[in-house]
Amino acid sequence: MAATRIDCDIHPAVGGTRTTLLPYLDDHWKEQVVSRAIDGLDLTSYPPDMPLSGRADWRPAKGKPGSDLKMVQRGAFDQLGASHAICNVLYGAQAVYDPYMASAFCKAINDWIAAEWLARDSRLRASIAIPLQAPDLAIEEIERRAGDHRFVSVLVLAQGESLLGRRQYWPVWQAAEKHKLPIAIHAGSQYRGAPSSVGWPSYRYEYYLAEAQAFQAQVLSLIYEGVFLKFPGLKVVLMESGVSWLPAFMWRANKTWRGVRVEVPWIDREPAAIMRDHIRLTTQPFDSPPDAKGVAEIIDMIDCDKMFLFASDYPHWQFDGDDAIPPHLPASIVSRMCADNPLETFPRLSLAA
Amino acid sequence: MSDVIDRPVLEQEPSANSRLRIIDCDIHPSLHSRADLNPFLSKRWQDHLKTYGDHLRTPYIGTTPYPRSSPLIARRDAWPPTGGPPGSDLAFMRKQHLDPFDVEFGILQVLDLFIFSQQNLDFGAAIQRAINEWQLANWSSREPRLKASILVGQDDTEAAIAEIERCAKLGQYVQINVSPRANEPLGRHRYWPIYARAEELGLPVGIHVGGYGGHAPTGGGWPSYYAEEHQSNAHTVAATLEFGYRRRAGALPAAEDRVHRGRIRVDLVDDVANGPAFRTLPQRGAASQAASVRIRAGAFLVHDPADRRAGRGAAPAIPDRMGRRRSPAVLVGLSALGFRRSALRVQDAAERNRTRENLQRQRAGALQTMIP
Repeated sequence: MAATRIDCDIHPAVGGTRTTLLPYLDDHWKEQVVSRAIDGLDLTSYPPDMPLSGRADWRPAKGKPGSDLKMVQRGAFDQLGASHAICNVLYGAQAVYDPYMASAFCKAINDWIAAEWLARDSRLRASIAIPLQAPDLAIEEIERRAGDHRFVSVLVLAQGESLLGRRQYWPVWQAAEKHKLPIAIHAGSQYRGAPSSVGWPSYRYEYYLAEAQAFQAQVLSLIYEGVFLKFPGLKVVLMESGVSWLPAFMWRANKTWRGVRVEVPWIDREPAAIMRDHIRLTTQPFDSPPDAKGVAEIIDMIDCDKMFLFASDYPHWQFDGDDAIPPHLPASIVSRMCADNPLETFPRLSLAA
Repeated sequence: MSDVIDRPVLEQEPSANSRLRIIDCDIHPSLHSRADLNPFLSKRWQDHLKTYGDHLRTPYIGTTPYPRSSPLIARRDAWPPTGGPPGSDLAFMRKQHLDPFDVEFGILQVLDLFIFSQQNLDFGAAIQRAINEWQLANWSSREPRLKASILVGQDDTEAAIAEIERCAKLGQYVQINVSPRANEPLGRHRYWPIYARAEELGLPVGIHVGGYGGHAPTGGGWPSYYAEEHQSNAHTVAATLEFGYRRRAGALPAAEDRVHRGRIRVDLVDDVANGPAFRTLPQRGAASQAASVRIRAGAFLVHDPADRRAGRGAAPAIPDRMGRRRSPAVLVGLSALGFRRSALRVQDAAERNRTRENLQRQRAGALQTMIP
């Protein structure tokens, strides 16, 4: 039995609405997707042919990267050495405008991942795709999956219709807390607004860098709105957010809070302390400094070894070779981030499926 | 008599042998009232200013969208005894700031009237010209230590170029100011003529946080609180750096003229000194290396506020990581010189206690009502 190494972020790919998901839609939506040709909902954030969306050696001969179970098993388990892996399906269900369509497609994604992935490999777990466009329907979907412990978290996009701390989402977080499901915020956008305050950038490179700022805005929103006071058991995992921006962000948050906390009197301690208690990050990409000293400084400045969660981001191209652990991380962090931290962050991992 | 200015030098603060003088790259002069601009506006635009005022992409006429934590975000001791808003009285600015800190040069950054963000571009062009003239007439010609900036709204690029040409001929201005929040990111092609002209003229480009570009302050939407909105300024600047400048600046300037000429300078005034831009750049691949090299070569930061790590021994060598500790490019900011520290000294202890008690009371109330 290999050592426990839980990969918290891998990406099985949905082929299409009219193909992969069709068997999991009810008659109404089967008719709709066929007669209206509702398909091709791959997110603009991840064009399948873009290098980032699939490492060259992880692309199947046919289909999208991440669409072939056997290939994913070879890559994530045999090659990268995971003992378990959490599937985060990034398909456009979370971005459609029609709340009923969003709900039907999320339900289909969850049924599909349960039947065709989780049932075929006991090492796999999954996040619940939810239609956050309609919080009441999102809660229905969480309740529908709550009894199945193979679903270990709730998946939302970093850039949606509004910031995640806002009160309209609180009932969703309440349901998640009740079922010991952390909120996995994954990079990606519904494209409802510009990805940054300065507007729409020209290049994908710029867009991808701006993702880190969207994550930062979500963290501040969740903290300042009081979500962690309201739901003290809630954990939030930033997935594919990058890591090394965290220290400067923490200092800035503390500084701003000290100056303007009169506005949010319910927040009675430094935001960085709240982050250390409630926020977790996956370690691909890490955007680390090139040298061991630099990495050690980043780790020291973050000052919390519980925050790191091992992830390969398979099949996204974040690194080359067989080692998904970012270079120069100290051994103490590596052992925590592969086992202890995921087990603590995703309590349902320890439950029998 | 001011506790800040007139306090005796403490024993542990002996005079240095050499004299440290500073160039303050971020001083905000204010209009005493909007009518101050009338001498520089035609009758038509005076009437427009009086009748219609601003048209900005923000909900309120008379104040900012997110109420600040103090009136006009100013220090409480910055209100001039002669009346008017902080920054509106030159004599008081000399007494409170330029003289005691031995400021060699101070660069003016005018924030009044949001000239960058006016929806009516003709009105914007008229008031940008008026503001630029007002800086000379009311400030830099009366106080040679103060240096004026050419404010231009980049969304009317033609008008911006015309204003740059007009001002450059006067030879009095030390930089060109544009807004980080406009219709599009600053790196977009439509704005390049401004940078081309700046480079030819040897004027750096200053970018002060602020502006109403119409986009949400964060990639995730509109926040509820000023605490969030304020920190989004750091995102704005980081995004501006990331979204970047395609024009490669020349060699690093000599220390003596670091502020004045020859470069595209990103002036992160009131903002991220240690912002995430430097940390979020991917380290892999030749192209991304070039991007961070470009930022190092072309971008300058003003140090106030500096988001330092508190406590726990020596601060990590962030300037080293930015690759420029020994270069002249990190501009001196006042917080590094203890300005903040002395400000804290005068804060009335009783008032601090009152604030603390208020906060506790508010928190108790808020927990009952707002976060039940």
